[in-house]
Amino acid sequence: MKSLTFFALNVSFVLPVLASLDLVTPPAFLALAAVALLIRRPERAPHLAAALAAALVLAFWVWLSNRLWTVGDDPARRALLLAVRSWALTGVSASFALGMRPAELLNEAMQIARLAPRVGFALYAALNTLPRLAEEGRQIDAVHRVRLGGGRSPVLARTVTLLARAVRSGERAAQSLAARGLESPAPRSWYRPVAWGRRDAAQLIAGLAASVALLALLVALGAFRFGFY
Amino acid sequence: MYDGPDGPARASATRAATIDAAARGPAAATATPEATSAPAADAPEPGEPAILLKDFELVRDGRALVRGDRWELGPGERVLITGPSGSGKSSFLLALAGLAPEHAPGLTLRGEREGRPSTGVVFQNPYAQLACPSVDDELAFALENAGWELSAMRARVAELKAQFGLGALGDRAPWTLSGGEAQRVALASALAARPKLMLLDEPLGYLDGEAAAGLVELATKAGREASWVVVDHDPAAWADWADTHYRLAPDASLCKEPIPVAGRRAVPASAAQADPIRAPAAAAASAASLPPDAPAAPKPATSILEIRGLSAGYGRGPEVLKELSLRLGPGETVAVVGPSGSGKSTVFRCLTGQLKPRSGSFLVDGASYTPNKRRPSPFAWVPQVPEHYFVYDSARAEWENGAASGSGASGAGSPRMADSGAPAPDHTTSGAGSPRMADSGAPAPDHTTSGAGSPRKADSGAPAADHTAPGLLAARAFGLEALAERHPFTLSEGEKRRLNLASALAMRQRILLLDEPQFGLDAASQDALEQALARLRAEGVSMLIISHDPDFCARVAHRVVRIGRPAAAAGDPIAPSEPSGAPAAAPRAPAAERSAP
Amino acid sequence: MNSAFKWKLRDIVVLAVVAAVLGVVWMGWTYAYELLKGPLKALHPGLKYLLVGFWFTGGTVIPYLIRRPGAALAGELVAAGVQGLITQWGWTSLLWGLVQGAGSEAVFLATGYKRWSLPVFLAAGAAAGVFSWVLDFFYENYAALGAVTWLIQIVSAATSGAVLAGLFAWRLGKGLEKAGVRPSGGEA
Repeated sequence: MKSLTFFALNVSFVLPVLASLDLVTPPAFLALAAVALLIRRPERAPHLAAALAAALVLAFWVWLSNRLWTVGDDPARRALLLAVRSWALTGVSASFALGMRPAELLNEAMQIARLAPRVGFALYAALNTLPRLAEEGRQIDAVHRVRLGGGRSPVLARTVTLLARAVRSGERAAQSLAARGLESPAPRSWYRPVAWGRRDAAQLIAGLAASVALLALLVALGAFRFGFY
Repeated sequence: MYDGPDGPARASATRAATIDAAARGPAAATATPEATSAPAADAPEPGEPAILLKDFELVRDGRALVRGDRWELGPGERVLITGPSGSGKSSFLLALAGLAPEHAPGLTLRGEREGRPSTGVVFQNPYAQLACPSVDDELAFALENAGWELSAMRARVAELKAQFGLGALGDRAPWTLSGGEAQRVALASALAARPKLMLLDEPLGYLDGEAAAGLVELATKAGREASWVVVDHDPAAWADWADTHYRLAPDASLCKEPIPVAGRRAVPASAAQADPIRAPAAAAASAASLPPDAPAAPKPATSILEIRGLSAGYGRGPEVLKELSLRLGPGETVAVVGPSGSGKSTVFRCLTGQLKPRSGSFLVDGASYTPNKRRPSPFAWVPQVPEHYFVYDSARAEWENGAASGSGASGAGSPRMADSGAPAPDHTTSGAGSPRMADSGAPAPDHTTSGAGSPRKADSGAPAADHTAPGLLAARAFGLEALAERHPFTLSEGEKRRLNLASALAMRQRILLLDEPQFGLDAASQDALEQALARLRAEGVSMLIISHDPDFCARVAHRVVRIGRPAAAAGDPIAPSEPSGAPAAAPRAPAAERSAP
Repeated sequence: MNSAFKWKLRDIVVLAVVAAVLGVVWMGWTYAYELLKGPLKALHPGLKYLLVGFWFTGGTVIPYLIRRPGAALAGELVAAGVQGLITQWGWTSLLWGLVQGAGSEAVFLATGYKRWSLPVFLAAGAAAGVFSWVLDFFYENYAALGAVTWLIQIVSAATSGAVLAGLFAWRLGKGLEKAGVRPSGGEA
């Protein structure tokens, strides 16, 4: 399954969850999302299970805080609905995150969806910087703590340090990309060519159809209730 | 004149012959049409320079960095440009690469320029310049931009991997590589489309001895199809490689110099005036090991710091440190030497409570010590990246506010800055000079209040006095006084490191941990650093230094401890920042040519 | 004039990197918010909005550094996207990010992308708050609440946005400028 397809399908899964306020729709689309994930990256199943378990904790908090502090009528039911939706939403997001391959998505986006290479490679560069930045953030924090006797330095100082270095790093990356010809007007070729074929179209249509069908079914059964809050 | 083993590379007569061969080479080797954006870059006719600059001037923000009547780069020529850090050498490279002013704001090269060969650039920080998802993609990047056909790309990538020893790394993400590997990828990637001009900006700054030698060797083997310009502050590493050596003089001219003898740090005499610290001591300090007037290595009956049987590793990974034992006597300087990845930084991580050791113990002043990162530490820790150490936004605030208030502070709540005068409520800040200590207990929102810009004046009389004096003295001694109002990030590498030491001097902690203090410093700055360390030694500070440079360690330490095992990329040091197109809003003093470019 | 509006490669990369950092940093604030939201709501339903400003920083910090059209919207979107990937809010982040970014962008657009002073940033932060409230209005059924509550909410949101996003971005931006990071674009 192409990354673009997976992305598009997940959008179609999430919208109904966002726009529904009943007990059936969110879990139903969560199931669909889980299926999509398992088709694409079956090895991620245990991770999804773990994420869903963690999501229960959050859902519980949503339930509790709405139960105690909500406005309006019938707090009990509303709290339950919101909790279920929150759980499903987290699940769908987790399923998307687990199934995603960012590099692949960007590659396809540039070749198929006509995303400008400058943007695509800038995002690649950011993806490369992030892991080291995280480590660097921790190091800055550690150095500051030792310097200041165990307490933390002000957020502003740490942020300026980290961001200044991040920006410099970004500027360097831009120079390196430009030096290797990113901005050249000549037509570009691809080391990992991808093309949108009939199979992809079929998968996309099938997936979207499943989404629509599920929604239609739920509406027909009277289970679906439109609403945000 | 230097007479090296590679005779033909220097004799101009035979050079012409080499160039002929080179000129024919690329045409045959290039099986695929490469569409480049520059006008067709053919191999120049023998005798015709690859680049010729006439009446040129490189200007940034109105200041001339490099100028001259004529500068020529021959085809296949290998040029080394040296000069003090921050003098504009890197900017010159950016201009040669055609990256100015489009990708280097404020930088313009005026004058006549002939020759726009296809270019490849390698920068100092190995990680910042790699921007693709995998090594294979990185190598193919320049080829993609040039429109190469797929099978040709695959062949070229395989060829590059073989040539640069990157075979096993094809699928790796660049940020997971070691510094040496990443730099090799960067070099290979720059060479991929067979450019006619290769520009290397301090490529060795982040590499240890072995990796650096490896890179120079790769540059040597790369052949003569391209002209190369390498900018470096240490000419010794490139002595065998270079044909021509230019030095960027303080008056912004490029002077041809004899190629220095390979070996440790030849410091051209004229570099001496760039740094006030060097002036009195002169050249004598550079060559000798620990100067005769240094306090003799104390024979510690009691050690101020003792490490016993330290073993540590990351996560569930292999042991990076195995049973390390070490004693540091009062007033002693001990250096820990080893190649990248051998676990040196891990020692500091354990000492400062960042990493829990798997086994081992520490004793400070004879008493058992358990590092805890939330409590005051007996150490002052100057990290590898000088910018990480800075907390304030002016150099003055840095050296005035030294380090922590020391071990007097109790556990919970926030230790106040020793010189903060009247106790300040948690949510206000009196100005940019003083950091507001966030109370680590409550999750307080970070409301910032008034007080823009100015460094905090010494509004508190008495309490500040304790720390101001030593800080200011150190600042003077290290030649930083003129930089008082500058933001620490805008200083040159050497100045930043000295500023780190100046604020460390104002500390109460008696044990100083220094992580690769000599990284990326040019000869003059390194001498200044060594003088600063000598001063610290004289003050009786105990120092534990980590370094991959054994010569440096021999010169500054009483004792050297070697750590051996070259492990994988885990724990690889974070690169120091490179000089950037920094802007210093403040007007620059004339002597500031060594400041950030 | 046109050159001040055209995005350079460096701008795009810096946008990606800084916005990604913001998205990650927001994660910490997210959990704090979840903890504090309940008790604040107990005091008054409007008061939870006092905390939201921090999430509009994509639309204020990025435009400080990159003074070009679209910086606020793109900055907020990318940051929200990254935040969505790593927190439980997932996709909702993107939607709110879009609206919040649009709010900030509207302010910069109104100045013709020519004014980059403190009041403009405060306004941008406030606008993000107001736009965000409007979205919340539909999503959380505020029609049930009274006009007084709405007022408290809007004022809280706007204030929070102005301070935690606008003022914060200003301070951060000034700090970065001193450290040598020059804003690009504007009337440069």
